[in-house]
Amino acid sequence: MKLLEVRNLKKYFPIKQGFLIERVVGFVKAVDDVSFSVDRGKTIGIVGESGCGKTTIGKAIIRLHEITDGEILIDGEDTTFYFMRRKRAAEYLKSRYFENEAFTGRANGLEPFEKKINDVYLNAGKSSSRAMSALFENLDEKRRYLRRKAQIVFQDPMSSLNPRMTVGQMLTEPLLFHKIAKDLDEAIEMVRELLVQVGLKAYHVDRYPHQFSGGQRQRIAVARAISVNPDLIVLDEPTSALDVSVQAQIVTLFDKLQQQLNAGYVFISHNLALVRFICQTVSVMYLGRIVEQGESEAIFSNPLHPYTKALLAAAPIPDPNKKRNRKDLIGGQVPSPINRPTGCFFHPRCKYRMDICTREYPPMFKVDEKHLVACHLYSTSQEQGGEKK
Amino acid sequence: MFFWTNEYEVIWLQERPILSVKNLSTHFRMVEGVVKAVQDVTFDLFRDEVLGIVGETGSGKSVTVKTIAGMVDSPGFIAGGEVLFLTDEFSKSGEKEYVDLAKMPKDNFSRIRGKHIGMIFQDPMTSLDPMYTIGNQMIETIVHHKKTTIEEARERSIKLLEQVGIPKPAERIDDYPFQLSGGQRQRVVIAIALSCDPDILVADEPSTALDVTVQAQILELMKDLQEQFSSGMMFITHDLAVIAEIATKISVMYGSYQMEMAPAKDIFESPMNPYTFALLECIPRLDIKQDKLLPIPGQPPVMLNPPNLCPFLPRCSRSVDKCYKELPSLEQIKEDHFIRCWNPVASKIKLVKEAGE
Repeated sequence: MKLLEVRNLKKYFPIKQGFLIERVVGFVKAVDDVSFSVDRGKTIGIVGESGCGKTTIGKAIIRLHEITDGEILIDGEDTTFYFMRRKRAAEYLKSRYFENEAFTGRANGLEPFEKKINDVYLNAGKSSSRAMSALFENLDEKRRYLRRKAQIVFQDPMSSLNPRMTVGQMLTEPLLFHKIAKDLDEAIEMVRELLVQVGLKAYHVDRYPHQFSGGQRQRIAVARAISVNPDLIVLDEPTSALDVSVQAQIVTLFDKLQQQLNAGYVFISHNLALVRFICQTVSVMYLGRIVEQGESEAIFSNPLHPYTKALLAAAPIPDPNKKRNRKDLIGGQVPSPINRPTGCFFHPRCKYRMDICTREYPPMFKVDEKHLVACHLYSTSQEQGGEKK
Repeated sequence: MFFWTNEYEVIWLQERPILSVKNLSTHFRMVEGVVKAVQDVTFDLFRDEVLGIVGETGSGKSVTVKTIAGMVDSPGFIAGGEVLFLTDEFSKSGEKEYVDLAKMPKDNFSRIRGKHIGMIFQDPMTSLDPMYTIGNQMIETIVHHKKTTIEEARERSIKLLEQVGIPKPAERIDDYPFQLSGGQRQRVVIAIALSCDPDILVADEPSTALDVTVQAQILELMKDLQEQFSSGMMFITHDLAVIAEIATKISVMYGSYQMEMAPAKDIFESPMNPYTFALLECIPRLDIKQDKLLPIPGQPPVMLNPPNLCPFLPRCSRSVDKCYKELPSLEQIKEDHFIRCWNPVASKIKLVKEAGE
């Protein structure tokens, strides 16, 4: 069972215009139809330039953003409706499950998470309203559980730590809220252990964030995330505000903690070298969509999408003897996500552009078991290959 | 500088560094004590040379160039050293001579900055004025320094914008900064820096705020322009990969001191200072598959009232007794290779052997 499965995730931000009477004039499609999954003890990297929607994905997974469409399964449970308003959640459940003929008409062949909901549905005597109230009954508990199991570490530790709270106050709060510690004394004892675990000293418990250096602050943020024994940690550019020598420390710490907790990581970064080092699988994003996805080694040693090639060619290499591959470099800028190009979003900057690229967005094409790419270059060659057979 | 008829003079001029910094120290007087931001920095910059200054946050790399450009204000002050700059701006005879920028009054700097020293900063949105068109800002610089008419300056600006790769420069010159994208803004800043044919181009993390694909474009552009204008360049960054791309000579700074200075190749192939060595071991690399990063333990130093010892000492794995007694000086060990260390790493090959044994 996958720890996290994201299916066809969409997050659109409405653009509103008008004074007093606001109306929606368009959408910023920050994340558009993105699917990926993470196993326990594994790391998926999400890379892309600024504005490609990678942070929005991270926030959507732990539900800091309400998602527009799609499903998020955590630990084999459909958690999509957990944080929706009651009315919307009901609508979602109706259209996805109870009043969906594809679901109700199909007794066999249900996926495990669908089966769980189907059981509730059958127990409620096939009444959607009773099934829903059964699902909503212990929703608070479920929400609390999800908040505990999915944690996030942000980019800038100075803005994610409260400057007016001591480390002890900050770290005991989640322990007490989730009832992991009985009382404050026990919580403080646990915090001391946690601080040692992330490479700080136990006496740091009474200090304020401003008394630490950047790397130490990030360690506190990491300690806060792991304090509740999460299964899933979203790391949103956790080292980009740090110096290289400290970055290596934090990365090593992540590695150590992953082995201890057996947690799955979603590692969001624009630093390709770091992603190559940390992640087992990688998704490359461009303007809200995944353009290439697969095993890290397959992508870095054999990039297929022209955008991935361009990213790799653009990344500088710390060796003066190696000259960059100028052939794959691209010009221009990332287009606006409000007004995306027709067809393949990358075609205005692409060197291998064909006619079809300006008209149709390419479907995800499977190069082999572990490598997916959304590019007409490969889908057309596959069709030809298919004909030959 | 190649239009002199006397060929000896040409050679002679080329061999003199345009900028020669000697034992420069910049300190800041704070309530808590003296922050020694830059200490004992020494280097020469020649034409056609790109000096990369690399270091972590607080290592003093930015303050070094700000001192050179006379941009350190109270409570900062130059505690010692010389900044010799080769220029004809103040000479009566018209011959080029060395001027000590460290002792020059602040008012005279407006004749140096922008004209002889062009500057490019990290965030183009803060170095351009949002209330003026980019044309206005370019023309102002050119008219002020070159004493041309506005029409001539405008023509030159359009030419410069074309050189830095802005499409339709004649139309874009009347745009405001917000109408340009991040990469284009940085191109405009580069155009302004180059507008008066500076002798030195100072780039303070010019590509840090940009995306990788745009960063690659800007780096390629800066390399090309530096060759075209044959000026000296000082390039500051925290990113070792970027510095490998562009610099011919690298100065590694840590805790306000220069730890090592050598040609780019030597720094990456045979680093001798333990800090440089450890730094290269702990960066993730895109071109090879690594199993492990070797982090440097500990935290970067606080520059408030530091002890007069090697700043890397608390984190160094090769420290010897002498390190705790005396600060090493920047010694020349090979031609062009300077290090500050009592117990340098001999070479990569030797160290691998040591580890193997």
